[in-house]
Formats: sequence, C-alpha cells, structure tokens
Amino acid sequence: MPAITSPLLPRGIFSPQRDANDRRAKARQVECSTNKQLNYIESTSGLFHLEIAVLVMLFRSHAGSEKEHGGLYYWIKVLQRNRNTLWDGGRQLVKDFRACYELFGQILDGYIVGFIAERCGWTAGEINPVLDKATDVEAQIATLAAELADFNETSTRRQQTNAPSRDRLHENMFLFLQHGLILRNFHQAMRHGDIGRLLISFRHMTCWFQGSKQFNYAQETIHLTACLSKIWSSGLKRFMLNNCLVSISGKRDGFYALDELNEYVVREVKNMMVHNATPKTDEHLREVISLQIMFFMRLKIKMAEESDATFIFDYHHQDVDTSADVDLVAKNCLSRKVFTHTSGRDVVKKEVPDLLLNGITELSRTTRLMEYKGKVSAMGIRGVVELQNRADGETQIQNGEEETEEDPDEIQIETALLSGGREDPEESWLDE
Amino acid sequence: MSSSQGSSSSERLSSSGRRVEQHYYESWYVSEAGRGTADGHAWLLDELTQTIERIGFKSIFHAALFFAESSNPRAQRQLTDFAKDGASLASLLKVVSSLRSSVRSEDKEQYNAALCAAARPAYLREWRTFLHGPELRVPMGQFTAQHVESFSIEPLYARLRLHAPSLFALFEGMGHDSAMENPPERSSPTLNETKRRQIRHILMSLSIMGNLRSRQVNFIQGILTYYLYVGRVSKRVVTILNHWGLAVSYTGVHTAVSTMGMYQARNESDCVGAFLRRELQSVGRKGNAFLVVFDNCTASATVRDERLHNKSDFLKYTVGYVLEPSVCRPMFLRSDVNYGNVASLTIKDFIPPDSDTDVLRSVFGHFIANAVSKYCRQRNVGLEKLDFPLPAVDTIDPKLTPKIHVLPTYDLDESLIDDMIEILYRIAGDIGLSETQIKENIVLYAGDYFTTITERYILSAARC
Repeated sequence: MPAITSPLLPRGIFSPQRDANDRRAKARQVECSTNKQLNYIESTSGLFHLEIAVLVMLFRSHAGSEKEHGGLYYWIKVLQRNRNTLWDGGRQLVKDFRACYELFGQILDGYIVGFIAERCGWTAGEINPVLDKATDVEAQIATLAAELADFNETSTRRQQTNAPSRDRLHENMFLFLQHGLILRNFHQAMRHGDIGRLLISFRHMTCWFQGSKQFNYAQETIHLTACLSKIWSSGLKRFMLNNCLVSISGKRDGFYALDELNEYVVREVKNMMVHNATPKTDEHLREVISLQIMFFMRLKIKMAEESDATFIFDYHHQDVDTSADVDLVAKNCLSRKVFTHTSGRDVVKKEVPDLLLNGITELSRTTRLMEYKGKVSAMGIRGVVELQNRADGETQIQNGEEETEEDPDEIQIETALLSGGREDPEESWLDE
Repeated sequence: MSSSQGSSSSERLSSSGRRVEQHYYESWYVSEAGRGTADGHAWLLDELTQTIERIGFKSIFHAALFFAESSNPRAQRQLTDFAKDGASLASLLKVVSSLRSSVRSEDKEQYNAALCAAARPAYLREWRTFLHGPELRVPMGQFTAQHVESFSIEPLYARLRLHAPSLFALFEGMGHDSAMENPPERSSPTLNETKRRQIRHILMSLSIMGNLRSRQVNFIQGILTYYLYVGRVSKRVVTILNHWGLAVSYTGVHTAVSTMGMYQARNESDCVGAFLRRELQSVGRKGNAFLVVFDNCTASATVRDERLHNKSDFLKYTVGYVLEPSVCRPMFLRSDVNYGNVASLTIKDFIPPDSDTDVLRSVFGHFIANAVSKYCRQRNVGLEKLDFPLPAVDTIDPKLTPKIHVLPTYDLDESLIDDMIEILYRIAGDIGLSETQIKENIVLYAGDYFTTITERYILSAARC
C-alpha cells in the first residue's frame, strides 16, 4: 500500500485515526459559541508517566542480551526473574513498572556495593569482611560520587581510546550507574516533593529523549521545557511546579505526581466495582461512590486513628531483604573485574548509548528545535499538535519495525503462567 | 443506768422513802435548751430505745421500718419529708451499703437485690437522659462528611458522660476498678491507650444498648457500618452484624452513601452528597486557580454464562479529580500563556547547567552511601554511620495539603474526540466554571501523554 500523505502530517506519516480525530475536533469546536469553546484549557503531561517512559528508554538502552555480561537480559537470567512478566519484548515496553524499577534498583545497588568493595581493596571471596575492615569508605564514596557526576567521563574515554583498547563492559556499567542514579534522583525527588532536584533530573531526561527513538516524549519534553522557560508566565510556572506533586497525608516523603494520584483514584473506583453490575449499580458507582473516593480514604485513616491502630498502614512498608541479589550482582561483577577499566577487553559487543551526549548532539543540530520554534511561534498550540502527530507516527513506525525485527526465539513463552504453574500430566495422551 | 429500770418518771423513792430525782439532768434534757446538746440527744435516744423495746420492737430500726411501711398518714408525711431531704436519704443508703459485710450469707442475695432495685430508677433516669441526647442520634439520610471528620471518641465520651455520670461510672468500674476512683477527665488532652480502649468499649456497649431501646441511636454503628462499606464488606455480613446491634442495616448505610453523592438531596443543608457536590461546584465559583487531572479507567465486565441480553463487555470510563491548592491565588488569565515567546528559546534552555553537577555530586553520594549502608545492615556488617545528607533544593511544604475533589466517573472514552469534548464540557459543568471564566481564564489540565495530546487536538481546533 503506497504511503498516503496528508497536509497535517508533512513527512508522509498518515494515521486515519489521528486525521479523523483532527477533523472531528475542528468540526465540533470551530463553529461553536464562545462559551463552549475549550481553549481555556492548558494541557500538560504528568511526571509519573514520564518516569515510566524514562524507564522504558533505559530498558531499551541497557537491554543487552542474555549471553553478554552487564545487560538487563543477562541480569534477569542471573537473578532468575521472569522476563515476560517484566518486559514486553515485542512492543519494547515495560509491563510491570514497579517490578522493573525494583530490578533496575537492585542491579544499581549491586554495582554500587561492588564498586565500593573493589575500591576498598577486595581481591577475592566475600564482600562483607572487606567492608567490615575498611576505614575509608566515606572517602571512597565521595570519590565515586564525584566521578559519576562527571557526565563527560565515558564520552571522553570513548573518544580518546581507539577501538582495540576499549572496554565496553566497564563503559556500559559506568553509564548504567549514571542513568540509574539520575532516575533514582527523579523518583526520590518526587517522593520528597523536591522540585529543584526533580528539574535537575528532568533536564537530563529531556536530553536523553532527544537521542532516543521515543520521538513522542522527545517532543513532549521539549514542549514542557518551553512551557517552563518561555510560554508560561512566572506565576503560572511557579503554580504548576508547586502543585505538580501532591502530599495528601502531610508526610515529608509522601508526595505523588498528579497522574500517579489519579492512578490511585482509578484503582479505588475499580475496587468499588461489583461483579454483578447492572445499569443501575453502574450509575450508582459513577455518580455516587466515585465522588467519595477521597472521603473513603479519610474515613479509613480516621477510624485507624480513633482505634489507635495507625500501624495498619505500615504493613506494606516492610523492607524486603535484597542483600542476596545485591551480593550476587556485586560478586559477579567483581569476579569479572568490571569495575576496573581493562584495555582491550572485548567480551561485550553492544555499546550502551551515552544518552546525554547523544541528546545534546541531537539538540545541537538544532533541526528539531528550530522546527519547534518556527511552528509553535507561528501557529501556537496547533504547531505543537502537528509536531506531536509526526512524533507519534515516527514512534509507532519505530516500534513496528522493532517488532518485526524481533527474533521470535528471544521471547520466552511463560507456559507456567498459562497452565497454572505446572505441566498437566494428562497431556501425554496427545502424543499417543 | 440502773436507775432507768422499772420507771419512766423523773422521780423515784430512796431507800429511806424519800422522793428524789431519778436523773439529775433529766429535766434539763427534756427542756428545749437541753434537747439541742449531744448529751441530750444521746439521753433521748436511749430513752426512745428503751421505750421501743418495751413496746415490743427489736430495735429502733425495726420500729422505724414498721412506721414507714404503715399507712398512717402521719408516718407517710414524715417519710415524704425525710425523702425530700436528699442528703439524709443518701446518708441512710450509705449506712445501709456499709453493712454489706455484716449481712448473713443466706440474706445477702435478698440484700443485694433490694439494694440494686433501689438504685435502678436512678440509673434508668440517667439512661433516658442519655438516650434523648442528640450526640448519638444521626439519621443515615443526613449523614455528613463533617460527622466523620469531627468524630473523636474523647470529646464524644465526655459529652455523653455529662448525661449519665453514675451509669458511666458503673461501666467504668466494670471495665476497670481503679477507673471508678479516677474516671477520665473531660479536659484531659492525653488519655493513655488503656483509657482510650476503655472509652471505645464503653461507647460501643452503651451504643448497642441504646440501639436496642431506639433505632435512632445509631451514630457509632453508622460510622462503623460506613467503614465496613468502604472496606467492601458484603451485604450479608453487614446484615448479620446489624442483628447483633453492631451495625446499622445495609439499607441504612446505602441511604447514607447515596445521599452523599446525590445531586439533589432531600435536605440539602444536611446531607453529605449535596456537601460534596457543593464543594465541587464551589471550585469554579471561588475564582481561584486549580488543576484538573483525569485519565481513562478500563475494566472488563465479565459474564460467566453469556446470554442474549447479558454479554461480557469492556468498560471504558474516565476518572479524575480537581486539585485545589491550600495556598489560594486568582485564576490565571489568557495572557499568562504566550506561545509567541518560544521564538527566544535556545539550546541553553535544555543543557543542564554546571550548578546541577554540584547538587548531583551530593545526591549521588547520598544514594551510594544509602546503598552501602543498607547492604551492610542486612548482612550484619559493622559499618560506621555514613554522613551523606540528601540536599534539599526547592522543596514543597508537605503540610500544605491540597483539597482533592474527585469528579464523577464519566461513561465516556477519552480516546474518542466526541467523548473527550463531552468529558471536558461535563468537567466544566461539575466544577462550576462560569461563562466569563471560560472566555477569559486559563485552567491547567494534567494527565498521561495520551490524554494530553487528545486534549491538544481539541485546543488546537478551538484556537484555529
């Protein structure tokens, strides 16, 4: 089928759905009375979904393969996780955000512990005695933190070292640490309601997206940066920043992004759905119960307070002991001397992209930026929509291409999940 | 008192036959002045005892009891006069109570029954006052959010205790002996956990008993049942608990929940539903800046045995809320958004500045130290405390908690433009945006990426 071009989508990416949406929106809004026009709305995307997109980007960048050391697929295998419950290999998307984030965090912790153990003089055996006897742990941490905060480190090394003497394994690990810590800072800043730290991570992520194949978020982060720096007045910017994170409990580490809180509301509304719904009960849910979701939450808290049983809210805050996994990752890396740059080591073929450098390079070409400026200053929100349309199309094509390129053998079918965890012994009759 | 034998007159004959005074002070004791003294009282009572014994009574108390029980008008009048003097009656009861240990074991049951029967009217009187108090009477149809938010057992207990102090003292004594002596004080701000526990149990007991007497005494049960409803406890369980007096009926709680979310309640000033709707409507009317957040909510409505008119379906709803910041400021104007300014956007606006590196160094140090400390703690490694504080750059005050008004769930699919327009119209209606605000102001909407770009389709069409 030949590519159909549309005046709305100049690069030839045509989506019947997007085009229909656009025409329908025009039909509904252009000729309606002024009090029905919806141009009083200023729309912005939430930070929680942005974090999910960043995690997807990091999974794509650090995926590697099961056979090569250091990639996420490798660690998923070593740590005996189920890849199919974590990651959609076909669409290249995170299936379970929290599980993926925790896995990422455990590998990150493993790298950190291994790195510090190596700096404290580990040579062989267990890590515990090394850390037990170490006297300069604080100094080693400060040095490592300073090294990791130097984002030119890997690119400089890559430029200076010629191909045969490179150590991709070490470079990839170093980038993993940097990316993981930036993501953790973003996550923790959201929890602590620290807008300053959040924006620091956001600036890095904006650059990361520019060099990635997630064109939709590349465009969206450009627009969000433009809103914060140019489009919105200082009052509007401050209002948005002060309210993009919400603490409903009043706790210092109890902040949620706006869209994350909405996911809570969605979950609670779903919880109140009944299995034997009728049109009447359905209306009751939508019109009566939904309004009270936050009231229900307050009631639960109030009853716990009056019963002196507030500890019930801490049941799910028990820390899981992850030291076994962290130890496994750290020792695995230490035994392979991953934390030391070894010239000429050629155990890893695939190079993890330096997302920050690639992003800045992409931005420096100024094509995307100039196009954004030109369209948006001339057409306003219409320009944003046009660019967004194109970015969406490109992202879909990218995902589609990756899907067709995916080796079907790479995706393991989790039969245990489908059959209830155990092979049916009665199935042997099929072979007869 | 040998002189008292055989004669009640004030004179007697001596051994020599001479008439002498039987008691030297008798004439003075019987005089008006002498009757008021202690000695006079004692002499007179002594005389009275002798007289009563002489006429056949066992004691002065038996004579008084006979007198009280007789239908003699004089006796009745005296008894009434005695009862009117409350302090004397209380003293008598106190004396009678103090004799408990002296009562013979075979008479003890009778004695206890008589004592309790005497106390019952007093308790019942207090109980009636307690039942008529407004604190525990809240019709489920008028159940408001403020009832829940202001629910606090200590002040409620103190208020109820004023209606029935003796009854509460009895319950406190039943709960804990020492509490009889030191009942919880009304003004005490910090009651320990044991006393709070005692309060909860007493309130529940009295509430159950009150509910037995009158169905309108339902406040504690109402809140508990609402809590059960929120916890998705099944209708059957609620019914069973209702029969035990621990919960209101399922119909009752359903009425409360329904009234909470209704557009037009029967009694608008009282019901929570109107309260929540009014709160939502007031967001726009106040004229302050706020944020709207919504997202799709998809769920499958499965049917085990599908029939012609009963099929499984995939529900696509839209769920959202309005955030009203604790620090108010007027709504933003159209001039607060200027897309023309992007012309001055440069690459510098995107590149992380050098100042970020300093902060990131501290942040990374904190995360590394945290990871190492956590590992050492879980592996029992005796690592010294690492001092890498997390820097705070620009934090939001957690105490400034905003108001969250959850919107009704819309049976509309945000991925369809027509539905999205309808969602935006309905939100504007539900939050009470005026025509002027629609024409002149800006409202911030947030959501996931897909919601945002769908909104922008409509905005771009509206701003064509």
